[in-house]
This record gives sequence, C-alpha cells and structure tokens, in this order.
Amino acid sequence: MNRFVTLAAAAAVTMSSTAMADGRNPDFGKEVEFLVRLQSLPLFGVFAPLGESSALSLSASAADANPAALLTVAPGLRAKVVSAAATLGPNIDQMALLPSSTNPTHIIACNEQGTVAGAVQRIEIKTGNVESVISSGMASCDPVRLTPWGTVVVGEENGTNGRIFEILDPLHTSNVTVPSSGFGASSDPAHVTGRPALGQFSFEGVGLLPNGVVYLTDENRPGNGGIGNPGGAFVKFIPATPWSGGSITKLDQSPWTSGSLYGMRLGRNGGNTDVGQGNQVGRGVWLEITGTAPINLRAAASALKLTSFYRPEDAVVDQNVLAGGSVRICGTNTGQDVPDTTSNGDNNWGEVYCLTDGTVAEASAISVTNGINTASVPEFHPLALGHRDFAMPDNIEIQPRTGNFLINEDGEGPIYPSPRNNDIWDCLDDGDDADTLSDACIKVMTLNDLTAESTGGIFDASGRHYYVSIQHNITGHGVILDVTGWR
Amino acid sequence: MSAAHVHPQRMRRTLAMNPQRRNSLLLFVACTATFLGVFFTFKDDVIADRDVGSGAGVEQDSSTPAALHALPDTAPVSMTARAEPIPSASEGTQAAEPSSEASTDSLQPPAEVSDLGDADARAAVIRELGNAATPGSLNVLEQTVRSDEVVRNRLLGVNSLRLLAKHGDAGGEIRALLRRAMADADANVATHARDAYRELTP
Repeated sequence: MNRFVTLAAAAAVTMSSTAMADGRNPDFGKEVEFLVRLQSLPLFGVFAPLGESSALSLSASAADANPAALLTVAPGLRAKVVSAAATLGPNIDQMALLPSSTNPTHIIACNEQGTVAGAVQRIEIKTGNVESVISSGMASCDPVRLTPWGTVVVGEENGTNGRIFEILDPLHTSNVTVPSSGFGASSDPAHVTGRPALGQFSFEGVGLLPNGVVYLTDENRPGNGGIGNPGGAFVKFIPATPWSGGSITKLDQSPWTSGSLYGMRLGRNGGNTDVGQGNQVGRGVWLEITGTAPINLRAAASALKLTSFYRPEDAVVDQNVLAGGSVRICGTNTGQDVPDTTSNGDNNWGEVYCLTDGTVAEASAISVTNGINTASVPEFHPLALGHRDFAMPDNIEIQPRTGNFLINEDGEGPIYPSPRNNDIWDCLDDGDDADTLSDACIKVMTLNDLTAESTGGIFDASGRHYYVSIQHNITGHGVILDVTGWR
Repeated sequence: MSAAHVHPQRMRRTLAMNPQRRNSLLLFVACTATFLGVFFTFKDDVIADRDVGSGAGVEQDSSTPAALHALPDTAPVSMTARAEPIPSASEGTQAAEPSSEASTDSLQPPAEVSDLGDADARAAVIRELGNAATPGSLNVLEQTVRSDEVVRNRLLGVNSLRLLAKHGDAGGEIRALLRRAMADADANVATHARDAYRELTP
C-alpha cells in the first residue's frame, strides 16, 4: 500500500514538475512558489494569491463612487468600506481598535499630516462617523496603540521633535489641542498629556508589553544630516513602576510617567566591542541611556554607537510568543526602492525582522553593569527580505489564529517606468526548518490607485476582520476598508 | 496516463486483481485526477489575477467601473519636452514639509519627507498645488501634465487641476488642459482627465 501512495505522490510531483518545465516555472524556486500557491488555502486562508500587481489607477470620481474598488483582494476575500467620510483624514496611518480588539466599536487612528490637521481621529465602525480626538498641535502622527491600562498612546514621526502623547478615556475625549512642540499642557490636561520620559525621535514602531515595557523604533535613514550618519535605532523603555493590571482613572497613574531608556547595540564579541558597520544581525546588549527627560534619542544613539537600520517602520508584539512568557517583536526596515533607471536608485528593498529579548521578566528587569543592562540579551534576525515585487515594507500585523504576517508595501512601484501599485503581502512565520526566515510569502491585496499606499493594517481578535487605510488616495480624504473572508 | 487511455483488457485485469492492489491503483488514479483538477482550477486563477481591475475571481462589494477599461483612442502626448523645470520641494509650497512650529536647532523632518527623491519631491508639490489657485500653480500643473515623465505625477497633476477648477475656471484654461491630458499616452492619466472634465462640464 505504501508503495502505491508513494508512487501517487511521486507522480503528482512529477506531473507538477512537468507542468513547470512547460516554460512557465523553469526552476526549483518557481516550483516552490507553485507549491505555495497550491496550498494557499490552508496556509493563508485565501483560495489563491494574486499574481501581478495592479497597474490600474482609479480616478477621483470612480474612487468616490466605490471606495472599496481602491483595493483588489485575493480570491475568497471581500473588501467593504468602514469609512470614506469627507472629514476622515487623508493620511490615516496606524490604527487601534476600541474598546478592545475582541468587540471593537471604534477605530482610533493617527492622521499623518502637519500640525494644522486633525492628528488623531475616532471612527465608529458601524456608521463610519468621524470625530476628532486631538485636533491640532501634533505633527505627523503615526503610531497608535491601546495600552493594557486602558489609555491610548500616539506618537509623532517628527525627528528629534517627535513626542509621545497619552489619551485617557479615548472613546469620549474630543477636540483636544496640544502644543506644537515641547511638553506643555494640552487644552484638556486631564485627558491628554505628553510623555517626556520616553524621549524624542521619529516614533514609528511601538512594541508594547502588558507591563508597560515598550520597544520603540526611530524612522530615520542613514546619512540623514551628513554622510555616514546612522539610520534609525531601537530603544527600550522600562517603567519605574511596571503595570500590574487593571485600568487607570488619572493620567498620573500611568506607568509611562517615569522610567529608564536603553538602546540596542548588536555585537557581543571582544567584550561587546565588535560593533558598528558590518554588524547588524545577531545578539547584542542594551546600553543605558542617561540624561534629563526628554532625552534626544538620536543624539544618544549616535553617542552610544547603537545599531542602526534603514528607516525602521512599524513593529508588533508576537502574542503567541508572549503567551509563552517570552518577548518577540517583529517589524520592518523600509530601505530605498527608487527605480534603478534613475541615478539615485538603490534597489534596497527592505526587510522584515524579528527581535527576541528573553522572557518578559528578563526583558523588564534592570541590572546595569558598566552602562549595560545585562538582564536580557536582544537578538535580531531577518524574517523576510524584500525584492522588486515586495519592496519597502511599512506596516506590519500578525494575524490572530494563524500567526501569519500581513505587511503593507510602501515601495516606489508607482514611479517605475511601467508603474505598478503597492501591495499587501501575507507571510508565514518561520517553521521548524533550519533557517530563521519566513517559509513563504504571497500577495493577497493590491491597490488600484498609483497615488496611494496602504497603511495601518490591523486585525480584530478573531483574525477575520482586517482593517486597512488607503492613505493619501486620489479622493483627497481618508478611506478605511474592512477585509473579510479569511478562511 | 489517464484512465481513458487504459486498454480494455488491462482494465479487466485491473478489476480482477486482488482487492488491495486494485484499491491502491484506484487511489493512485484518484490522487492524480484530484491533482489535475486542482492544477487546472488554479491555472485559471492565474489568468484571472492578471486582470486585477476586472474583479474576476475577486469578491468585492462592487467591481471596478467598466468605463475604466473602455478607454478612447488617444494620440500620445510627447513626454520629452519640458518648457521649464518643475520646482523642487524646497522651491514649492512649504506645505509639503512637516509644519512643525518648533524652533529647535535639532529639529529634523520625518525621514520619509527628507528622503524624497526627485519624483516624490515633485509629487509632494503637485499634491499641494490643488489647494493653491494662483497663476503660478496653473503653470506648474500644465508642465506636469504635459511633460512629467512619471505617470503617478501626471495623475496627481490632473487631480490638482480638477481641484483647482472647483474654485473656478471661468476662462476655461483648466478644462483646456484636461482636454489635452485626455490624449495622454497613459490610459490611467487619460481616464482621470476625462472623468475630471466630465465633472466640470455638466
């Protein structure tokens, strides 16, 4: 019997190989892609991946008539409009679900525009109605997270002027203004306040643990301000009083009122001295960052020779690993993808990485010796490497239920000589094979607007609703879609 | 080899063989047939996927408007001539930069703004020009839709013209530019221009 089963399997593989040899898939890599495609339903929950990226670009009137058509989705998925209100910010970026991801009624979102625009908005999922939470003062609001203690934190991607703000009662706080710089009082200090303890740089990735320990990334590119200057660094904030559970009723009860900062430097060989250019992978140390709040984190990164990356973007906590008591943060480094037909094209397509930091207890502890917090050991490895069709990864989300990674592409495809739209990719986690890389990625969505990018993709707790923004799309206002149909 | 090509005598021998071997052989045939079924099912999807705008094989609330696929015959517009350079981001409106009012020396713009290449810098300016109805902005947009080599930028140029026209186009200059853009060599640009022109011409 086994002989015949083996024969059947061999015949199937042979026939697939024969089909591949038919001029369509001439090599082993293609064969692997073909097998992934065949298994897209059990692996990714879609009937099949998309092929080529869309080259279509809807006009404003067409997009206004049917905002869902801004996105083509893989067979089996469906896209419907949550909001395309005229008042929805045109640059909606990261989003969080309120009051929780289990039964969300609202989305709270950053609108990445200047200080005059509504920076933080609240969208009712059922109706699409938009309300302002922080109406002015913030510049380039980008990250947003719901905290375990019931507040919402938002950050500015604004160089060394970037700030973190915390919002109490985010479902009922509205129309607050904050200073355009510094940490002066907001118009409603009981509900919105700045958090100088977390320092200042271009906030983008926020990996928040249940006790308030948070990993932050700086969206900075190498060479910014001078040749050889470092790119974006990773820092960790450990609250002076870690959060132990429950909700807060006043902002001064937040664990983010005070704490200490540590910067990641990879390289432990030679007494932690094999650091700098050429060492961007593997294990490292957390270096204590000292100074008076708010600390200029870029200056600290430069002084401490922290490991830098090409425009670190979004980051997400792996909840499956967290459930096992350990820390794993996965994020994106964008790279630079301007066409190589131009003089400044790099063909640096970026990467998706994962960073481990021991157990939650180790990652949250402080034991400083010679400026190094030895309580935990950061370890950085790439998970997926970009390529011409998967370029400049930006926002990232892990799908509950499957553990797959959904990644919003923000590449320069729209300005290529033969323009193509940006896509949304779905990547498996690394399995039990020898390497540390994702086992496969497929394209599951593609935009139909060459002037837009997708941002802020986030799942509800079921993993069956994927909310995604179509940022700076041709309509001139925001569009948030709900993608369902995941098997 | 498919079951249809099995010789009748061989088929009879197969049916007469011991039940275990017969079942195994039938299992093999079933597996192969299943594989072929799956293969050809998804082979069709490959073809469908290439026409991403048609909505074929895609469940959405509604498909892309059919009008986008029925473009008029248009004469290509020369994309080589450029009467005057389009201003860089620093020459254009300040709205393309982060509008922080901070006065600190260490203030750095967001990386994704300071990292703009030429094409993206022009795009940032073109986007903003739709909100600035001045003779200068119209000139820049004219150059954009006539000669910017990046399709995405010409799309933005058409859209900014459309937005400008909503503030008034008594002399018909904007509609004339849109008519010209309807002959763009790129189908998306031509469609944008046509839709915008229709909006402005009840």
